[in-house]
Amino acid sequence: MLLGVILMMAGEEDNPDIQLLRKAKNGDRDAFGELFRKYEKRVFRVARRMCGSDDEAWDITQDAFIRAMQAMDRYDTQYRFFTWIYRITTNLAINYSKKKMRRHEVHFDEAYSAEGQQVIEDNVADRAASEQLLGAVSKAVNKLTPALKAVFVLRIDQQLSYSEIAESLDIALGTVMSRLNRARTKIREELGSMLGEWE
Amino acid sequence: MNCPDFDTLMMLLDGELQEERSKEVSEHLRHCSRCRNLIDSQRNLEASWRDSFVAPEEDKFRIMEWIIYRRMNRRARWKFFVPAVAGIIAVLLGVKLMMDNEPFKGRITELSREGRTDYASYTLQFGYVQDESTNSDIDGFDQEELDADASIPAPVEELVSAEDVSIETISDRVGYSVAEVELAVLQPANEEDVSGDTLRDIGSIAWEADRMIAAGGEAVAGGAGGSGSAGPGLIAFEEECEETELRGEMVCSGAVEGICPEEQLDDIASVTLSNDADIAVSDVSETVPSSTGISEDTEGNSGSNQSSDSYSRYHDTHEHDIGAYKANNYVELVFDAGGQPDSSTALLLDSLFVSWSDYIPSIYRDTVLVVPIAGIQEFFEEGSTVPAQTIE
Repeated sequence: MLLGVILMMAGEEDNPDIQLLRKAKNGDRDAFGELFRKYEKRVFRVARRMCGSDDEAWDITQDAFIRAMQAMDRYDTQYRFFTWIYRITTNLAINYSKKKMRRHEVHFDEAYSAEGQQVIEDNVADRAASEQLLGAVSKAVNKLTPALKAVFVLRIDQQLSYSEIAESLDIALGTVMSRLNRARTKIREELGSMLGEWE
Repeated sequence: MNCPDFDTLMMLLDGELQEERSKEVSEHLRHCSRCRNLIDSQRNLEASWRDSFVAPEEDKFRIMEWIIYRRMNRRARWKFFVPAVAGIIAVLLGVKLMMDNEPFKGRITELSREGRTDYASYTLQFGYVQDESTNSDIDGFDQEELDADASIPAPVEELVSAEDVSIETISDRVGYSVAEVELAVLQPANEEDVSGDTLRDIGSIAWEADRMIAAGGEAVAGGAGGSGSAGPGLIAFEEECEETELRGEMVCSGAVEGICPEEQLDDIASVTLSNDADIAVSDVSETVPSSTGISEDTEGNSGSNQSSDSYSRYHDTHEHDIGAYKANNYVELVFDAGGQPDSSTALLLDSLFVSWSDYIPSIYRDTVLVVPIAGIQEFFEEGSTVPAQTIE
């Protein structure tokens, strides 16, 4: 027990993020700014990938940081802070998605097809076809269940390792692998013959 | 070697395959176009999807940073506020009162006057706790400390004459509440000042002045904790104060955030006081119109009208404040007595347009503006042509 407390205290001292978090919670404007700027884009990006619109992503981003500060006392310092903020963010996004599904508000985010236009132009000669392909990928990703999508987003978009994903989502390593493969398989099934365009 | 399964190929793609196995599969790929094509298509597909993301403009992150900080800071201020008011609560209520759960009897504990040009305002602070059992739910509310601090500062003691401001109706209905309320007696500055003696009976003030009493949850100077604030008024009520013969209506913006569990806010919102006054929680209730009964009850006194409007606007602004934060459409800009923006406002303005200081006129002294984010620069550059909520 005592050893655990000592380890936890030692972990906190070595963790600049938790020190910033503690200061921020006590009203330190600079500490909050430093912490927020360090993670703001990652948090927003995960939220945006997980949900359907910028507005929802901003809401989730806002709530994620506030939750992090409110729940600071429950933060286990043996874990890395970024996996913890990812966990809060994905949980919020999953809850948000579930609420939407209950309200039958699931919709395809058409914005992605337009956003991806420029990037695809560099890779594929046929612009119209590339838009169509990327639109299809986005649509397939958005059709994933929130649990599969969370793993897919953290791996593909955030490029986390399997162990980091497991830590972020608090699931077993094997679960990460199986969910990721299911997500990829479903996406490939959705794309069907269009996949040949990427080979 | 047979073709590896899909999972193995994907692990290779992710760099998660063990070294030995990775070599085997890589060797296989040299000779198997099918597996190679599968990996290539997956890699390209995922890279395209990843790179398609377009991040929002930097300004939006800065606004979000500002919004979150403001939200957190409001909550955090309770840590200063609660200890600061704890002594006042003890003075006001006394241990016996809390033990017996008797109706709260407010007392005048502090008298202050603000240097406004058109009216004088006096401050009455009071607090109430429904019963002892709620104390443990209040962060930092320690009964023993309250007992120890239950002394009345000498200057205040002179003002305390036990005249009551009866708010049983409130304390009966709203548990977990600690409130500091500023009562502003509105009167033209050119009339004879209301004396401290007069203030000893808040009812008689209203009676004699025959003017509206308005109250707003303004910032309260902190005690031991430093500068604190009641924070945004989350609870507001309007009441015909018949028992104290107060004329007109009283709008109090107390502060329950951080004390009242969130789920109870709905309960509070649904409470109706026994005298048919409504309790409303800001973010679930309709905006109180600026033409609320406050103005109607003033009797043609321009000073009173102006000031009551101020309080109405304060309330309106808070309504906008919460809604705006959610929609990210509006921001609150706070200017101090010198016309300078407070630190949060300055930070926001810095992030939105560089030369903002050239456009801030001195007329914004003691002002809070609620300005649409999209038009914030135009608002100042074009001479405030963009509609904004203003409170003095």
